[in-house]
Amino acid sequence: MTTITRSLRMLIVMTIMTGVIYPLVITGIAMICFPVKSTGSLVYSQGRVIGSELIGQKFTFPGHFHGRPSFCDYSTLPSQGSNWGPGNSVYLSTLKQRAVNYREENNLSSVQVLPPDAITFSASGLDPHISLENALLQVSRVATARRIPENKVKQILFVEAARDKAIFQKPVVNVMKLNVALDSVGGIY
Amino acid sequence: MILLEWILFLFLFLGLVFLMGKYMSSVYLGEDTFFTVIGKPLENLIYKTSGINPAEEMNWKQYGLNLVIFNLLGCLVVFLLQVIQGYLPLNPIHAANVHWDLALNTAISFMTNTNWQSYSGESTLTWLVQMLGLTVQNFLSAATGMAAMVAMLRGFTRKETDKIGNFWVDLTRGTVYILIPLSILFSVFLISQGVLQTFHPYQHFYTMENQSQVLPTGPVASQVAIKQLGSNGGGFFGVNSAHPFENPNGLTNIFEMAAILFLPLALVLSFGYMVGNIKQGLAFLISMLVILLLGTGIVWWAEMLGNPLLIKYGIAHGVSMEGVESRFGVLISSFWGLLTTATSNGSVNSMHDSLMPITTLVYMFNMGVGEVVFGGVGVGIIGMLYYALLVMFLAGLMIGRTPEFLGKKLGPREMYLSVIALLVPPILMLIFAAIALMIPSTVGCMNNSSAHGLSELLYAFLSGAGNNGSAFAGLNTNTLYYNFSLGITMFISRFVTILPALAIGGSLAEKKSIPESSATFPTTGILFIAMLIAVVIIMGSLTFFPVFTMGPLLDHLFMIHGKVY
Repeated sequence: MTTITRSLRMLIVMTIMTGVIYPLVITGIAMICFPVKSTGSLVYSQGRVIGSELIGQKFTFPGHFHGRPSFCDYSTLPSQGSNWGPGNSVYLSTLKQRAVNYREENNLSSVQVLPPDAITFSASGLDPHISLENALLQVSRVATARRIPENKVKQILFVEAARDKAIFQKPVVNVMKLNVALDSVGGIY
Repeated sequence: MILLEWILFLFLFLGLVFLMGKYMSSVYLGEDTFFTVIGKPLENLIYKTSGINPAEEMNWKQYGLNLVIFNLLGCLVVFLLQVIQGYLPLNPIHAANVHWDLALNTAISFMTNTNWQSYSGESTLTWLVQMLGLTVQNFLSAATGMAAMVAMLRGFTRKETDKIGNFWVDLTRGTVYILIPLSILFSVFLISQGVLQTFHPYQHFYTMENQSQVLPTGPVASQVAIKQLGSNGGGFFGVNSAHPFENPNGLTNIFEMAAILFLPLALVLSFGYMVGNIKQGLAFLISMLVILLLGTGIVWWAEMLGNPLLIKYGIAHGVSMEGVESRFGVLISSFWGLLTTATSNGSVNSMHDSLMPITTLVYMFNMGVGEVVFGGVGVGIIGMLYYALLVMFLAGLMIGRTPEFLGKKLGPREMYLSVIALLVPPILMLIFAAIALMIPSTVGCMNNSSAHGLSELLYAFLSGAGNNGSAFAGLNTNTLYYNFSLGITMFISRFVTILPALAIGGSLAEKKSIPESSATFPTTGILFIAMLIAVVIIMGSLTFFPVFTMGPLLDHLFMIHGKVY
């Protein structure tokens, strides 16, 4: 009996310490020191939220760079990957279709080698980045759609990619930030 | 340049591991450290409010009883919180009460340090459950594992007594001096990089192309910090550390990997310091590193070989990025998987279901041998000690001498207990997996068919039996059979690891200590290390070879020969 009462009292004390005080103290520190980062790194345009720079969103306009395909179509509740095994026939046939679509969309030849992230589903379904190779293949489409020179688009791409360069991380570019930068330059799309 | 960064990081990390190893041994031996000024008053306050006499000493049965009762109560609380969560506050998504079988599975899962998740946190659980239930068990299950290890070690250091310490003291010290301070530091770092920590409601908005999207929110960082440090692995979100809100960039990724490894690695050294034989700690460390490096070689070979089926669709070199985040890439992601299955962490930053079959074979092997390559906090060393006792027994047979380890003679009782602890989890999981294969509705839960489907199912039960918690997430395990059988597997495996450890500690403590002689088999040399590695690999291969052949190995052969399913 004493074992049970002691266990219960210990559990209550530990719950208050690690389940209430600990998360609240951390939240307090977060609010004071990192008010933007701790609340989702939101991006605003004309006073309204247009997304989080960490969470990928769906881009389909030809004048925007497109993110990776997403199994959950960038829905967040819950987000998920495909969980298809390497030899899954559904996986392979949809992959084939996505490769065709990607080549068509970007006006690429049928022998063009594709960067792997261009047509595969990410793990979270919310991958905010694409590889630089992937972005470069989209430059011509974006420039044509916006009716601005390719060099201009490339220049913006490299500026953004340099900004996203980080330690212990693959060279990638944040699609949303890239598109925000493009939109601020203008062009029709 | 990039290589230099990694090497620098590695050295800094190893330096910290040594310091931490020493610090933790001081904590459990009750010596003063720099943190005592803050820790001691808090520790005493906890004893006072819980009515505990820290000077009381327990024999192994009392120690075990307190441990089990405390864990069961914790489990009950998590269960109850979930089944009535709909009536409780901090429920921004108006989540309904969790169904009893899922709630039971989750409660056992977090109490046993497994953190298997048959649900997605962001759409199933309330913040209250995540905080009061899951975060609390993240701390307590880790502290319990460490306490069990310390109690077992006292068997080697004490003589002619049946007392192996005080569970409440070991539990409290682990929490107050080790887990809480580290978690606070780590949480703040994570938040500085963009991991969420907020009680703002979910953010609804329209994207740049006017599509509606919702951003989930919550106290994420405080849970992610302890989930990585305490070998827990249960994510705030369903996709775990692949979610940008849990693991936003390369820096958080490498720090989370370091956190996964930190305490398990440091505890190997603490073990050395605590038994007064740091060379023994280093011998274990080297054995574990060798197995890890072997695994790394195989995994990286498999990932670089890639998926030949992808080449004909024009993917460069067949590199398989399916289920991999672009900021991490395949090499770092597959290495993470190795760490998370070598320790009993179980968090993922890629979808293991989509990785190369040989990669996942190594993961399954890591879990199958009982996670002794560093292993879970505390229980990793316990597992390795079981293997070490087995090695000493084998060595004893070879040289015709009663086996001894760290100055204690090993008798039949220690051998029985070690073998039970090593064999029960694999037997249990193989039986449950076999039954699952005979139930049509259970087979229907697979996301992939053929050999890969078998891998999905195997992985789930290996993960449960190893108290790991990582998954082939394609398998839908939120069914009555899976929730129940995985729950039982996790429960039994956890206690069949911990209780024999306490019993061995108790029985060794009663023995006299015998001085080392010239005939003693040296347990710190190359011969011992080689035997230990061999025993781990042979045991794992003998147990799992047939079923691994039908699962991941066949899956690999199908893939390279272009056979799809």
